[in-house]
Amino acid sequence: MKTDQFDDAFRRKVEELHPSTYPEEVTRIAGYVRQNLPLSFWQKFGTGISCSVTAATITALLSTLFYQNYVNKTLLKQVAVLNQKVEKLATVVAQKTDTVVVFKYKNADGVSEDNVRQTSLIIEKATTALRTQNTFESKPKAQSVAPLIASANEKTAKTTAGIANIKRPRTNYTNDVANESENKIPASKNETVDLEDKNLAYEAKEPSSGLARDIGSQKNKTLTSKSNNSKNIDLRTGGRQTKTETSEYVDAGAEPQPNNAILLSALLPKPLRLDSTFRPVSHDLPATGFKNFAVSTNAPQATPRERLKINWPDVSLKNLRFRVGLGSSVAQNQLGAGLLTEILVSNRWSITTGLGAATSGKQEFDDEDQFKQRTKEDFKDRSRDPQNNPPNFRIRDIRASERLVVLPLYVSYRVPLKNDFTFIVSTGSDFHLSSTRSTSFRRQEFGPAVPRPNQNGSFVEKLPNRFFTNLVFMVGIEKRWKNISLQLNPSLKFQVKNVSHQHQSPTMGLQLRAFYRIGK
Amino acid sequence: MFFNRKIDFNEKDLQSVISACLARDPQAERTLIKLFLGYAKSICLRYASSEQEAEEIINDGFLKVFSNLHKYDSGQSFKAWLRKIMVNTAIDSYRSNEKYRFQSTIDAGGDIVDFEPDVLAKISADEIMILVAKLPPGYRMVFMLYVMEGFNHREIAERLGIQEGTSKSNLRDARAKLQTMIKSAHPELYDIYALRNRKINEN
Repeated sequence: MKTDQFDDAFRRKVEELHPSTYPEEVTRIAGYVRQNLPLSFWQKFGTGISCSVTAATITALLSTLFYQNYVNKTLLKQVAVLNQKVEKLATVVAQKTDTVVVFKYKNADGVSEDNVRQTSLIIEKATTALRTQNTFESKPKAQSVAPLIASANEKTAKTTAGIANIKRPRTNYTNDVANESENKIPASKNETVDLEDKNLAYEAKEPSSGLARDIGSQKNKTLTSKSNNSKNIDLRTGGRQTKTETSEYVDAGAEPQPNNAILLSALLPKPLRLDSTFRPVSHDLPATGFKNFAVSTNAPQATPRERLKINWPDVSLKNLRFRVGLGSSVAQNQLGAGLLTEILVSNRWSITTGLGAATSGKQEFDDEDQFKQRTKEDFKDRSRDPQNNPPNFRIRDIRASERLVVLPLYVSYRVPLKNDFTFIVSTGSDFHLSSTRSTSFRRQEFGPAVPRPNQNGSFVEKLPNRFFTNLVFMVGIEKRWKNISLQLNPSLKFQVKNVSHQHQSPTMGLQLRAFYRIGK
Repeated sequence: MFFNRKIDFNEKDLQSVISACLARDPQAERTLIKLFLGYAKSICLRYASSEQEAEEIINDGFLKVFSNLHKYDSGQSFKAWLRKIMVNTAIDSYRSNEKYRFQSTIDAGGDIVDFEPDVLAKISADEIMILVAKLPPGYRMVFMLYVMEGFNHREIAERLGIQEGTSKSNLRDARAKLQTMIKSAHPELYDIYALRNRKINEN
């Protein structure tokens, strides 16, 4: 026999060989392949990378949180120090001694009506000028009015020049004025001082000092020549300038005022008003011009009380700020999505809730034998459909998954960061409203000579629901763009109660949320 | 990553099964193994001296198949591609066992016997494979690569890391040894053919 013939005969014979195979061999080889198949980069390092990124994110966020808290504390300390300084300054200002001068004109006997009328006209002009020019807003304007008043004073002085023996003891003068019912001035701040018919009101502004000085000097000049009742006018806001000008008045002949005096600038916010007419208060008294009296007052104490006031968040429905949006969650063996609403209870606290659906606990079985081996349960019993799954059918490719309707409820603490970022720490739970298990499979009839095509089947079974099963902790970050905000929250879920779809605890996951702010 | 794309496949559509295998669908992997296990086994048994060794070659062969599945060109036959991988795996397995090399040189070949082509037709394939398994590994490898895969001696020498002359001698010896084994296993067949030849010569 030639070698070629032998080889051909041998080849044909060998190629006739069709060794039989067994399912066990398939399982063995599949297991070997699965074990030794080289993994892709992500399969190799995916879990490590995910955990590292999550850990790094949480670390970074926590570091940011602590740093932000540290900065906040430092700033609060600085604010407290500054507040103390401000309080000290306010106390110092409140304890300043100042002078309130009351103008009072009384027509004396022997003064002609013409002189009085002329004086009244001049003062009226001055009043009008003050009203129109808003005298106390600028010093030059006030000074421009001053000569008018000065001339009025001169007229008054001339009118009263012939009046003799009209002197009042200076020491009693203040008390006298204070005792007069028509000259009583309320000691509270921000009230206009009305002096009987001659209402004088001064706005508490710095430029008024010029006018006040003019008036004071004129009156002083006038009255000191007649009597010792030299009076000061001080219409300024107080402080050091008050003292300086008081000393000027002393130089001009007026005596320094007692310590207990009201800060007129704080009391008289309105513009100077002078009545057009001077009517005599009493015929017994000559036109002595100006009277001083001082009212003691203390600094307003309301400010510290307001600082201690606690602003409780207004949680009424009308004032609620809320956002609506979509959320998705990915965790080990679980995937979910849903509609969410976030209610901002305050600037720091928010509540997130909504309604979502999740798929969890995916399981795959090659056939019913494997199903029975792994679940200790007969598939045909579970399907509860013996008519559609008779014994001569073989069940293959079983795939089961649980579908959950969940109500997420989370409480979040928010720490605003720079550039519209917010650090969020949340805790809550995904409450289960209902859970069902969906199973799909293929039916293959064995026995007939001509194999029939496979039939697909499926069924859904309702599972006993457990409302509260888990506890979720999240640390995330939010970025806002006007009304839109995006949240990324790595999560850690702890199973409080055992459920069929989740056997591991804790499980790491990721929640992505997008919100749109409506309302406020 | 978190999402594994699910690809539906049909056993009758080999391309869909391969696509699902590329997506690392375990069910598809099982299906592919199931579809081609018999063919792979028939190839590996030719190069193995025992079923256990054949199993090892099959395991490694399928591992290479799934590792290199992305390199498979759908334009060519999958069976041919699988066969190539299995043969290469068998060669690798042979080369990894150094003892076989020495054994192949120690075992001397026999003389070529007078052989009738009809004799092989009378013997079952299983029986022939049993006889092949009894061949020394070196002989078996050269004989199978030459006869079944159609390699020439240069290719065989390169693949097995031997001299070309060694390949030729191994082939000759393997063929002679195989014929001897068949003759010794089935002497009655040779008696029949010997009687027939004698009658033809007398006439």
